[in-house]
Amino acid sequence: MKFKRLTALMLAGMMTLSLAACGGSASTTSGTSDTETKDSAEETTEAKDTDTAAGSDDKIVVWTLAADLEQFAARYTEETGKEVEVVVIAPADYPTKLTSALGAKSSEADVIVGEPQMLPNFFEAGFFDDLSQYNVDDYKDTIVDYVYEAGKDDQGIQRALSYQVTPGSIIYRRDLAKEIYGNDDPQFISEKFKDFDTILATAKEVKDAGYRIFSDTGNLRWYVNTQEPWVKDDVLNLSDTAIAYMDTAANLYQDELVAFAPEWSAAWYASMAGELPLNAGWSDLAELEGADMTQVFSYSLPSWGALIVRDNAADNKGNFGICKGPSSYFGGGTFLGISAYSEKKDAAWDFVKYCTLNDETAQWWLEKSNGDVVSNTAVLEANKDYTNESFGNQKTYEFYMGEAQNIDYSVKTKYDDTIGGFWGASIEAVQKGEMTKEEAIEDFYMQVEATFPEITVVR
Amino acid sequence: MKAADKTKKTKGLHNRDNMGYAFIAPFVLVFLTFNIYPVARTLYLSFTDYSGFNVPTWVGLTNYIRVFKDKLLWEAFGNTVRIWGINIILQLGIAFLLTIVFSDMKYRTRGLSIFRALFYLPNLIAATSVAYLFKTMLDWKFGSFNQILKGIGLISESVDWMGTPPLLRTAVGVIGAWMWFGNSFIMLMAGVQGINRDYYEAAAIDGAGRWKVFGKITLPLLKPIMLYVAITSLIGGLQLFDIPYLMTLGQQKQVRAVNTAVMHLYTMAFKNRQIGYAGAIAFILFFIICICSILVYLMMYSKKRKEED
Repeated sequence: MKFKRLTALMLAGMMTLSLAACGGSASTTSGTSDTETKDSAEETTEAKDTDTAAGSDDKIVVWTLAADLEQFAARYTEETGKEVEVVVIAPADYPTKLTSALGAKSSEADVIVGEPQMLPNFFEAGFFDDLSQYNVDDYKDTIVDYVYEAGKDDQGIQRALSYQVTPGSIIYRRDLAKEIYGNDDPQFISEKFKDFDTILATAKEVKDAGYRIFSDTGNLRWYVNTQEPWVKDDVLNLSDTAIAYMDTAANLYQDELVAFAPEWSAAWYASMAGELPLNAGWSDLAELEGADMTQVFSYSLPSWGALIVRDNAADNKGNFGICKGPSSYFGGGTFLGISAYSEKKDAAWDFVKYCTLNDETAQWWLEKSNGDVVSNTAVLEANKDYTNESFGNQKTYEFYMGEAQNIDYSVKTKYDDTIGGFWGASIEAVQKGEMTKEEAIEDFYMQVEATFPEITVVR
Repeated sequence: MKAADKTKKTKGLHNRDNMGYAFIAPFVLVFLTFNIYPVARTLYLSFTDYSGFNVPTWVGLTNYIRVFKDKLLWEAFGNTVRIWGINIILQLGIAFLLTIVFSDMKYRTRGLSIFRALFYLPNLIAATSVAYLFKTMLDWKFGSFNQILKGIGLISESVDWMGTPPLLRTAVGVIGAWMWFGNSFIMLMAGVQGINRDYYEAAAIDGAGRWKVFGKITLPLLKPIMLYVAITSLIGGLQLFDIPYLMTLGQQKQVRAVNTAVMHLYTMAFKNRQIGYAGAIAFILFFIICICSILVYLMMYSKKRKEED
């Protein structure tokens, strides 16, 4: 009897302990105070620089969704002797993992990252530390303006910085341009994409020549609300550009002026190297033998898209050109900051500074990545005359630098992703004839009102 | 007398009367931590503007008032009821047919336990696998479903099952019925086996035919269990999430077609980061489910009372 009692008590005790342990792991104490100055940070850095045998106690941990930072960390360790552990988390899981860890004030990560659409929420949650304590304003002119602005919270406090810029572009086939227009000059082609009406006319010319202007109608989405915000003073702003996008997308779809190969589909990748089956959708190419074939004239993508096109161009490498679309925009980018709960904030700042504000690192990354457009203005300026073989010897850095400088970050709002998604769905309904334009707009208003009651919808 | 004195003197865990608390402590702790606390926390958050990132601020009944104005939510409720309607008609219909076949003395169907296990099998497959299986089968270009229908000459052109909202809702309802008819069958069979054999013998002596016996004895006596199956299915239907969510992952238009109340709740909480509002939706759903449960209770209670009378 006594044995049974003891066993029961032990079991009860073990369960209680395990519960307590579960709770304990999620309640790590917070980091150091926010009062440290840049001077102290530099002192710490200098002191550590002299210590070539930095132990694991000095190791900083980087949580990222971009594997690029592994290469930055390797070079940083090589140069400074300081250890950096990079944890790469799948982009789809990243916000959830970061939120649950930092929500519990975990000090595990010292450097954290975010993409522009994630940053407002991360800033609001207080995950990113204030960088003004490191006199970050002194470096304002080191990087492109819009990147600097994107790293500020709604109070104007700088919390994140990026090593790259991601301006938009039209990436077009020079050989097809020559065939259709007898001219492959970027200035000339840019005129063919100057606004939505012109794009529609260009699409018809391209189709008449046996090709398709885009892989699918979504290529135009980047140009919606690049000059006006979706939400202004808590009022929904359905701009003329957004309406024009709906009209053009519906025409492109209904007149079959695009190839119907969605971005990231097998046919989309294949189109960069040459012919693709019409109406391929998400199908495997092997399943489409015997289908009518065509070629895609252009891709509307941010700077990282140029690298995708280049890497999938095969024999078409060198056959592409880059020019401006209807307006300047940006898409994506990895922003680094210091975790508010890090216990090694000075070391974390040293790494963030090394990745984002160091001229040598920027030049190294530009060469190492073989085409990523860095945010460092001095390095962009120094490389502006570089002629890119993959794009018909065009000065691609000069082009992207100009586009980056034209970006108006003030039009970005935290609602952009969701509202843009609603607008995309409404456009799809019009394209497929499931709704009239008026019905689709009304449905869009209803979705915005239902999802964001704080936004006023003026019909 | 001596033993009683000893009991009085012992304190804490040495007192056998108190030992029970120690024994139930693990369960109570787990129950409080994983059941009561989340519910209480959700209730609290439903009165705040919590986004998952900010410090919750009390907003009173704002979220509950919003529930009644949210057209997307009521559209989702409409979808839920439509999907449930298709599901319950098929689920109960098939289960009922099978019950008739397996309970009829004349057919003398053998291997009831084997069939029972076979019918229940779809319920054991993970929802992820079911969703992926049907998503692949219903693909309009390469799905085997269209190919079979074309093969037997029922259709000449491929049907876009996933892209046509009414067809997608029907498909989700049918999948639900396929997954759950085995469960309903087991319950109905248990109901049939619970009917007193004397009724059937009396009917046979009086010369009642098979359909008369079924219509006058089996059906009325199965009514409570049928209602029970229907209402528990309604409760499950109101919580429908996994199959429509997994089948339409990332496809905005398809999501809208089969957006259920719980999918809307999930979108509000984890996509739009409106956790306070999602909490209010959860509690409105909870009240609806409570009302359904009370209905079941009243139905069973009134039946029992009638029997006692």
